Amino acid sequence: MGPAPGPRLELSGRILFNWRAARFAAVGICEERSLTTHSVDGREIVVNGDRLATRARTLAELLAELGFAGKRIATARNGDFVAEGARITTAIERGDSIEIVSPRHGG
Amino acid sequence: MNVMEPKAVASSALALYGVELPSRLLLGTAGYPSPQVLARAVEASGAGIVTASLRRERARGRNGDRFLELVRALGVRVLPNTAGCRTVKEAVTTAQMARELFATDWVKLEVIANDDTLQPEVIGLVEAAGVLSREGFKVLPYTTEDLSIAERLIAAGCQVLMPWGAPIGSGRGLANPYALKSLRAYFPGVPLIIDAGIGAPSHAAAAMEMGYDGVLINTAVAKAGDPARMAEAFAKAIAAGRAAYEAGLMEARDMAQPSTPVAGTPFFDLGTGPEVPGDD
Repeated sequence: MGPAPGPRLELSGRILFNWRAARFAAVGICEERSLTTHSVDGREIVVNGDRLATRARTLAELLAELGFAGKRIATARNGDFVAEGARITTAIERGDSIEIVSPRHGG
Repeated sequence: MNVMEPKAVASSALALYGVELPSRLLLGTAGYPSPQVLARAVEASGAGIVTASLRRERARGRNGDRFLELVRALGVRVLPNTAGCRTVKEAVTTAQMARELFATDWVKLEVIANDDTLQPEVIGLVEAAGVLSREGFKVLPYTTEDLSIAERLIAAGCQVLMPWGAPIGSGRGLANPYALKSLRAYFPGVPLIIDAGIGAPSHAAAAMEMGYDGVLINTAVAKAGDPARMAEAFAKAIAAGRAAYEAGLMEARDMAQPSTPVAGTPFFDLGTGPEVPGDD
């Protein structure tokens, strides 16, 4: 699970981010702080399988940016668990893959 | 062959990792028509453990909080699983996330090999069990009935094994009773729980009669027309099967054996029977 291939992303980046911005607007997430500006520039990452751009420097900042602050979630970065207390010191880098999960029913 | 005399076994409660549980039924929480139906089924089952899992969360979703509140209100122990994980790393990371979210170091460890059978990937399972046990997890591995893998899981730190009855969700019951009996006989002191494939209370009773320590059920209850009633049926079947095991079941025989004493019955010594033509 390495970073997404760079060159291909560079080529498709603008179209992708414009689409993301449109989708965010459509579902009314724009009111979440600063997401709209982030869709214009920022580092490309993958959150729960979806590509997006962020200016967050740490995982804690990313969670706040995406509206997860105070929610009961657990996180992983590039396949490794990041404990709640370590989110503030976990840097977000271009190409990172982040998982944000919550409890649900299961067998 | 000598026929073994039935032996009674002392009655006892199920204990896993030193924790005594109120029931030998473990209940899955997936696939119920509504949270209310799930809650009623858990109550009717008397289960002391329910399973749970993790989902990718959306920014505005509140499902996770609601599910946790529901389980807390039921007052049962949560056993998070690593469902859907296909590699050691996925399973380990999922277990670590689950430990933080559910505040428990118990984990139902699943490493899945194949989409059609949802068969345990037993090599990865053993490795993940070792990693997690060293990190202090209490691992309950979803495994096959394979004896050598069972030995390795125990060596890796597992104090409970959960062999499948049949593929998850198949409802086929105990697909390989001979191997399950062997596993039971081979590990008399290890708690063994049948996980997956149970479709009817009779399947669960059969597992308990074999001496299995518990049964984990999900689909058979969740997809029943009346899940709470089915949960109650399973609870009764599991209690009956366990009681039968503790009481000591008779061995099956090839030939009939009179249950009424023969000696002293009227006409016992006359040796009469139906007349067979040509038998002078």
